[in-house]
Amino acid sequence: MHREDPNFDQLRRLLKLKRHEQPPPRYFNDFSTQVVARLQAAQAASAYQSWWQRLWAGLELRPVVPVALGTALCGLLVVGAVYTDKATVPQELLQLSSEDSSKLAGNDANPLLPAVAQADFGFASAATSTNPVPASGSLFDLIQPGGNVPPVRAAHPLFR
Amino acid sequence: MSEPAPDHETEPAPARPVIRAATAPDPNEEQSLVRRSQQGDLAAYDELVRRYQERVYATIYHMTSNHEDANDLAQETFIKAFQAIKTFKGGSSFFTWVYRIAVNKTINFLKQRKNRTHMSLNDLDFNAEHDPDLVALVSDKTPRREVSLAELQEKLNAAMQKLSESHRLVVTLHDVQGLPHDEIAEIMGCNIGTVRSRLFYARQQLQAHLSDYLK
Repeated sequence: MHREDPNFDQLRRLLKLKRHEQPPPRYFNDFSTQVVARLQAAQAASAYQSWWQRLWAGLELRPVVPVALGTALCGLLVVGAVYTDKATVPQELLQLSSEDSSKLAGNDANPLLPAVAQADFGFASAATSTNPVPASGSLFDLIQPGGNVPPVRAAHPLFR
Repeated sequence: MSEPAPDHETEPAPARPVIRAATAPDPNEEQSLVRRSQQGDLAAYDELVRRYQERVYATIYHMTSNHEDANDLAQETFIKAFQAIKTFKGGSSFFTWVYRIAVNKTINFLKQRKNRTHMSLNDLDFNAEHDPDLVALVSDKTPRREVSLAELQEKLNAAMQKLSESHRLVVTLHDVQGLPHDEIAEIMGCNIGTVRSRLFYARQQLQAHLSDYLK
């Protein structure tokens, strides 16, 4: 609790000077009239406002509403991002798609497909899998020692 | 400007009786005016504006030391109050509720203006040079007291502008307009201890700035 300093008495007397400051004569005679006139003009103008302008004016009076909406929207985005990141394809489906692709590459070679694509480098599983990394590991593990690449099978009739 | 109500908490008993307002606002009548205003009755709202226009204007003027800015902000205060009047639930008095709008608007305006202060002071009324408290502060050797009062007015306003908005506000509401601490706390949205602390600090600052004029 601050004690009243006796020197503040003089300061308080000086501050009383501000009570004697007055606006121009008859200033308040028209003040309320001007306020009401402005309100009436605003009401007349709002009659021509579009629905979104009226909505915006309403939101300006209640800022808590757009803040709450924005927070909820951000929360939904965060939840969606987290949920999407955690989503994975089941392993059984990956293996099944890998087997099907191998069969297509080995027996019923599509003559239009380059042979490299048809070779069993394990890319089939990569091509059909949602996981970009082959199940067998690095892509370079599949290349034969010496850098040999299996020859291209010229299966297309044009190359016979 | 009507004589403000005395603060019985800290000030000693006044030497002369304080003249209260001739017609104290009837709470029931005010509730009726507020209710009608909430239903869009501009005539009722006009009456509410007339009741509080002087005090709202005065608060803003003492904060800004600029008549033109005070005029604009006071009008905008009442306009915003009408637009938001449906949100007034009666938890505080209508006077306090409007004051809070005025204070927030003024502080936002001052923060945007930052340090670009431009004073446009109102004239002192005729009673100023006959106020015994003010006469005592003016040197007896000055041939024309009204000139010294004008200089005092300018120095006082300049010193007020050096205070932060919150300190200036508490001095305005308490020492100039005579509001009690609890009402100031409600207007400013803080506790009474904070009001007392800010008031003490603000008075110290003003005293330092005005030491040449305080004998």
